[in-house]
Amino acid sequence: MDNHKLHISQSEWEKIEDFLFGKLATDEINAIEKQIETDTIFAQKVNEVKSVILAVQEFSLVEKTEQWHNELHETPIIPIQRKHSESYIRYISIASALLILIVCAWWWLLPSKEEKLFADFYQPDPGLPTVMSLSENYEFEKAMVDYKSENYAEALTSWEKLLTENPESDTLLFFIGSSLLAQKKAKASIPYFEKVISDEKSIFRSESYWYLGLALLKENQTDKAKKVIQLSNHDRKQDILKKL
Amino acid sequence: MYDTASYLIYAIKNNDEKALKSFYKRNFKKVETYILHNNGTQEDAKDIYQEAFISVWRNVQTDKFAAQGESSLDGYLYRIAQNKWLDHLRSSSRKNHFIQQDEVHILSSEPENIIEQKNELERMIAQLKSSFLELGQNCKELLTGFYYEKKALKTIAAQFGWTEATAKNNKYRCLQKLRDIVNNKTNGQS
Repeated sequence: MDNHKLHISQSEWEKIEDFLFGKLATDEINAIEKQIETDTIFAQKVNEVKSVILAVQEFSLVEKTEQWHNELHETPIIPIQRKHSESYIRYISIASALLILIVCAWWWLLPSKEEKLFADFYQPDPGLPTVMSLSENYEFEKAMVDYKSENYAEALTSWEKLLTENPESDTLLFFIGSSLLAQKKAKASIPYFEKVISDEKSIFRSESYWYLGLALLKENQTDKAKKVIQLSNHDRKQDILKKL
Repeated sequence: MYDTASYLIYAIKNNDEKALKSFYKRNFKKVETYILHNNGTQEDAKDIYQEAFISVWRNVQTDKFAAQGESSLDGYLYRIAQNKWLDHLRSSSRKNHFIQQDEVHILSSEPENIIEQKNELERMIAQLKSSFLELGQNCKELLTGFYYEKKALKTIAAQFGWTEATAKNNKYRCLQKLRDIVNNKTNGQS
């Protein structure tokens, strides 16, 4: 910054700011670009507005990086160890109880045939391609990035919010169902896939039959699952039907 | 094709907290390891990494970084940090210490005048940042809300109990105050 402050009026500042934020129409952009080339003082003003905008943001960002850095070094709290003899007896008792519990649970929790099939055949839907743009679909696409990063709960929250504005959107319904199923919430996912299937024009119909079938299978509704899977065009359809 | 690099650049441009935080956290360890292996301390690693992170952020904001994939943005951050550390070593009395030469990268072969312009921009930004601290609390909140958090003036106005027009005028006044502080400091030095 020069020793003498350049005078930039409020309207001029706001115009330059709109230019830098890409809010102007093409002819206005062209006019400003031309002025930058021909008018050195104006070019300096643009540089100054740019610097101020960057500096304010950087100041905030520096504060944020301090916070994030502290989080990097947060360590879990380790409980203070008791005296050896006392803790030894306690550990032995806990370990024995746990062992008994594990053996019982093993017997009771052996996966059913349906659960095994679900595990063998279920692959989360890969999601839609997203090329982030300055569009109103940003929220949707951001959630899609979460979904693809396996942050299903976060994707679900965003899409549920969007669904309140577009309750009939088959895309939202399908991906809400998919996010639920990916979190093993088969029962909760069922009505979403059913609703997509009820939309005859939906491009997600075939996939919805497949995932609805798998959700039903996970819920031990094998007969219904067979009928639904039969209606899908999934390439592993015949394999699973043979095993059902 | 799902375009992660575009997403990350878009997110950085919008100061998306989640994306920035994840970008910051996932790259620190690698830079820290490099600096610790090259005669640095943990404090050095933190300082250099934060400087490099801000540089990457600035280059994305000013469209200086042309994306070639997310890994390249991660790699770019690493190379900037390396170069900053090497500059630090060269400029200090530690010249004779061993540096992993095979890892030295030249970031750009830009002409002198471009480098000078960059230095001028950095100098201006550094002055503005140190002056920002001296602004009143309301001005700091207003400017941070508008420029960093990308809040609409309407939202900021509601937050302060102002009309939108007042928020707009106050924003300009705060900017002038900031510029005055910088100007007074500069004139005081000269």
